[in-house]
Amino acid sequence: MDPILEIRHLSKAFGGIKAVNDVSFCLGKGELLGLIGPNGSGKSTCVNLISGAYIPDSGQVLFCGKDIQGSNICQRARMGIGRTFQTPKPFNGLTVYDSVYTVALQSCAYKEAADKTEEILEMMELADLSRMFCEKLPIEKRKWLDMARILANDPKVIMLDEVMAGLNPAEMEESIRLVRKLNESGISIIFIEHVMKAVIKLSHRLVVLNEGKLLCGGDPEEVMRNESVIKAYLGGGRHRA
Amino acid sequence: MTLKEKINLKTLGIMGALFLAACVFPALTKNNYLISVGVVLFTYAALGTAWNIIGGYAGQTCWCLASFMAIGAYTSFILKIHFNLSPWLGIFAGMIVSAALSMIIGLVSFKQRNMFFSLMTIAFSEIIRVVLVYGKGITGGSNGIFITYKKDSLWQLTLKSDKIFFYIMLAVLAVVITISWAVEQTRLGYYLRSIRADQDAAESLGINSYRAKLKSFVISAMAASAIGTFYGFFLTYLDPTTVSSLNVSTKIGTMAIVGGLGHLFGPLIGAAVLIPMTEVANAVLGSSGSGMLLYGAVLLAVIIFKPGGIISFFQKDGRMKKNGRKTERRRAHGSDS
Repeated sequence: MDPILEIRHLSKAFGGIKAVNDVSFCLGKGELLGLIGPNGSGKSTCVNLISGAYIPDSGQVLFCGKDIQGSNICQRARMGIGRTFQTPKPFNGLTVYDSVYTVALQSCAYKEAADKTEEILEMMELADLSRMFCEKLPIEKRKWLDMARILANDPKVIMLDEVMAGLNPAEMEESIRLVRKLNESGISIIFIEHVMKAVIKLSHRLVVLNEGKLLCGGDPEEVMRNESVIKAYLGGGRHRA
Repeated sequence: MTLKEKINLKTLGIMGALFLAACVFPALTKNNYLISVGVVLFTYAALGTAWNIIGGYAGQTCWCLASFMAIGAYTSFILKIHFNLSPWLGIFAGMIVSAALSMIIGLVSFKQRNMFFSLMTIAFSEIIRVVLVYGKGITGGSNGIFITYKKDSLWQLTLKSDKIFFYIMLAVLAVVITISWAVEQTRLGYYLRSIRADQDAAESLGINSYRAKLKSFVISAMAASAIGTFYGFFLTYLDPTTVSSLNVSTKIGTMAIVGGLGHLFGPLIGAAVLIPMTEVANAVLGSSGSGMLLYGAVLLAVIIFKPGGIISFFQKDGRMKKNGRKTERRRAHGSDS
């Protein structure tokens, strides 16, 4: 699978703490890559480095083969790198429709943006809620709206940061279906998640981070059986048991 | 549903009726005081609308709009006094100066977040006031400068009757509201509202917050500068305290906050309530300071009881909430039928 995104020796420290330490991995075209690790392992920092929210201390991010180190968060978003946040960030005061329309306006004429918005809302199953103000949406729909806004930028890569957190099992099933739908439409996805059920169901491949370093990567079933991964999550409890 | 659909025929009808009522008002009264209150009302409504672009849509609290008003007024006055240049041309000079200065403030302060912009505007406001006080040779210092009346001339804006200024300021208000509406409807308006809601999210979606905020600030400053020219020629006299103090900037912001922050007609409603109330308070309490006391009291009341401003009383969303509470009460009493 051709890589669309390559992370090469990425490092970032905050004071004396190395949040990400020499991490390298890649995302293939059309791939759904699970990025997992215990709390504080550097997953979200990685997302921030790839999206351009943080500037790395060292390392490279290559998108479609090009080094994008010099570009800022806005430029990367327009290139086609989208991201969601752990806590949804709705545009309070704007309707669901206007939230997506605002993003669509960046690359389209007004009429074209309106058509695109309707299409995206239909795809993300938010069409019935288009007139509702964002702040009134339930948590699940807010997360869907975050994804819908990104779609208005015609993304090639989306990084989903804990989209399943706080959802009940039924909502989670719906969200899994939707993420799969996005992936099937040709978008490569980095899926950062703590909910292992969702990770196993969705991911084509897994990358595991621990204490800012790359622990291992590969087939989801194999990775989940890996001793070092179990140890990282359980702190060696399996051996003690 | 886009914002374009939100300005419905009913709203346009009401505004049209109010505009017509304002047009015939001077013909119905011979009281010059009421006419001049009308001019002040339109001036502050226009200034509030200009403030609303940066303060309301972009959510950047600006405390120096009076300084841009002063720059516009002083520039036109100085060009008129020294070069006999018509204020209709001087207005552009003031706007260019204001655009340049607002650009400098914006370029520096929008790189930072939070309170930095607000603090910069307060500092700028003080700098302009001090420059006006100490630049005696050109600005007249604390004594101010004035335009002498020679003959009625619309071209030179030297007019005996306040009625013509009433119509000029009404037209200026209509133009500023149209500009604000245009900003609201275009890409810039959408970007500004998304930035106000969540700058991180907006930037992660490709929206350049720096550029959008800068544009909105320059538009606000240029509009305030143009309004300042007309207001200055209405007053015929300028001094730093009247047009450039922090008090005046606060008063302008209060119009928009009390009326409804980020709403097209919010500042107009704020001015329509606050300006007449101030006049009544000044007359009843016999002190010009009582007006500021009233601003403070109304501002506090709005912040505590109706943060959405007066306009939120008329919004559909508000009515839905009210009806919702009624339904809940009926349900609680078992009489939902």
